[in-house]
Amino acid sequence: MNSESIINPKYDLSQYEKISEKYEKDPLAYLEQYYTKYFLIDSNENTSEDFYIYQAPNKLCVIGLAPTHPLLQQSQKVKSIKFDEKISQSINKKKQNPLSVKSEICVITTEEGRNYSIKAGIVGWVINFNMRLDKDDDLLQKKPFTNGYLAIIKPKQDVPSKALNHCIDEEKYKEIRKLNI
Amino acid sequence: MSKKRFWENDHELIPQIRVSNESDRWKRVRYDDVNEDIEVLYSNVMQYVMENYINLTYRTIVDTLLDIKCCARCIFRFLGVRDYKCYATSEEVLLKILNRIRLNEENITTSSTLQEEHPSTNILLSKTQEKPICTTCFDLLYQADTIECLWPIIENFNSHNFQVKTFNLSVSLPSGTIINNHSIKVYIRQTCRERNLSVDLSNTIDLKDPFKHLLGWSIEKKLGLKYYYQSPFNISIEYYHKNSQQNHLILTHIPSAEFQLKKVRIKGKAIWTGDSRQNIIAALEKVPDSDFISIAKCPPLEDKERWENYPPILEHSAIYVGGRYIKLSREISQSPWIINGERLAETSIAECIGEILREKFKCDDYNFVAAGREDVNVRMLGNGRPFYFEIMNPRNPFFFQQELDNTQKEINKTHKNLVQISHLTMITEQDLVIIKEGEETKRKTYSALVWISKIVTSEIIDKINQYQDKEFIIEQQTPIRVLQRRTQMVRPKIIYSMKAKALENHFLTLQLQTEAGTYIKEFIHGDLGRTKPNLGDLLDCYADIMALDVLEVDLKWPPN
Repeated sequence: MNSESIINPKYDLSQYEKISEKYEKDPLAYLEQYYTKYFLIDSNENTSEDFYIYQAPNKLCVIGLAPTHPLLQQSQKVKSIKFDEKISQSINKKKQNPLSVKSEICVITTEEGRNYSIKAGIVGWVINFNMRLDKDDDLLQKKPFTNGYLAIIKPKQDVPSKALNHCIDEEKYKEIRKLNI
Repeated sequence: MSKKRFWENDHELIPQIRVSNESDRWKRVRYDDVNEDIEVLYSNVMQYVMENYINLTYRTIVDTLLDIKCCARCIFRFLGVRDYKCYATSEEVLLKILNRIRLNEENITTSSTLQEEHPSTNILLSKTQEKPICTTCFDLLYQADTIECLWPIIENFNSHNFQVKTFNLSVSLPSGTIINNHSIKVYIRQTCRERNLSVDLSNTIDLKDPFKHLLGWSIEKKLGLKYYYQSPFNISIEYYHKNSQQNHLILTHIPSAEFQLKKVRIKGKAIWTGDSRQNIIAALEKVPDSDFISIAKCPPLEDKERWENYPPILEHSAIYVGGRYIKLSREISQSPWIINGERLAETSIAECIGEILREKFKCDDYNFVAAGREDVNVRMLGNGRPFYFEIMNPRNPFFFQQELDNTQKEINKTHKNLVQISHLTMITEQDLVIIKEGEETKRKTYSALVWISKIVTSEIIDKINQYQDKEFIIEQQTPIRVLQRRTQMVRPKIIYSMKAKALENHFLTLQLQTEAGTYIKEFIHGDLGRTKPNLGDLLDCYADIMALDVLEVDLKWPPN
């Protein structure tokens, strides 16, 4: 490396051609750089209240609404998002019992009066609720896969195959939900 | 991680050879400036004696101690001779002086008929196994300047090949000497009392003082070093005496000593504590002579075993070398990156530089400290990042700038495509805080290759460049990437300057100057909206970072 490029670095764009191509097709493709995507399919055959779980390399999991969730499928207006208060208060406190997969962490109520229950989805501890959803009503439905995430959960299990063995990967999810995006 | 430590165990590798040749055992190191003139020495010693003892008690002391076959040097201690050069004289001369002292009348003009020797003189001068072992020093003081006493230190020093000019000495003497010295004092007081003499032994010289001086001078002479109490090179040696190791336990049988041992569990092991030298000395001070005599041997029994030593520890205190590094690779980490025993990056800056420094300084180990850090896939360019190495126990601590320059060249040549260093120089311990300050307070300049979801236009570039001379504040929630170890909170950070240059299509380069502690990657991709505003917000699109380089850490380093 010569001294000029040490002060003023040059970047070889040919190295990034492929990744750019991918990004152009899907602007959200960058998420794959930072997370492994998993999906949690609704166990009730008649509804499709599905969730995504993005796992970061440090094992933390971001949970949010999957594209097939009714809140993103039908035009329903969100009236309120209520995070569980008890969990809220326990964040950052030590020696909490972990939540189970079915523990309710949040309830979303629509203008029509429908309630959607959001579950923890994995055994672990909530370490952050996305409080921006409170301030910005549209965020959840406008940017559900990025800024509109619901919570960050620290799994009890360190090994991803154990922590997330009830979840499926993106390919399987698309297959089950017959999506071809 | 387990760093390679070639020299770590070599203290133990040195064979503990006791001198086999009897004559070597007693062979003394001769100092150049020792006065062997008896007349001069005698008057010198008598000065101290007259100062310390008003009546003729000193004669009783000399006689009593010769009776129990104390070595001449220890008798000098009980006489309170503070001039340690006097101790360096040969045993023959010392005994001659002692014999003269015991026969001394107020007027010393009497003839040579009085040159009668104490009956112990001959046996004390014997250089065979018959020589009784001094009960107060176990022959440590007697042998302080002999080859036998020096041997372990010389061996150790030479095998480590220490390149030093000075040394400091710390010695730890057998705990049995404390009890025995006390016992002798009690014995002297008792003897004097029987003869109706009053005696004050408070001017007795502690065994350690003349011992350290004699041993120190011998080391000076034999190794060609200077004995200097502030020397960074320390020779530390612990002596023990097997037979008397437990002697202080008699104190537990003397109630007035208030000497209690405590059993403490450390990692499941029961260990007795409370028997430190200070505790023993403090306990002895509380005991009346009558109590002591009833339990302890007074005078102490003659012993057949002499002193022994644990392997000495020769150690140079840490030295520091500082400089700046450039990291050219996106594959190597700053410090060794090992998780659960698995190496995640082949090598590291710390190892690239440290292993060569280890060879040069011949140190046990090193610690690498830098002003901040960059991720594995981030390069450190520009004027480099300040760093220093703490060099532990260097065998070769004196590096001249010329040698450091050569070392720098060698490092740069060896790791041409990974690391380049500059300004390699010796620094002092006081300089180290500057690095910490650099990590926490100094501005950093970055260059980033950025992809945005829009085609880069001149409008976009202009939009960014309006911040070229206009600082703004972003609020960063702890990035998800580090949230598992860093507390969740919002940290406001200043972006001092931001400018962009268009590349092809979706690519641009971004140059940023930010406050210390700003997370650049998160500022660009937004971290799921946790950094506000982020580059995507400012341009109303998605953004991601392809490559990041640090261009400047704004810190004057090394200090000179």
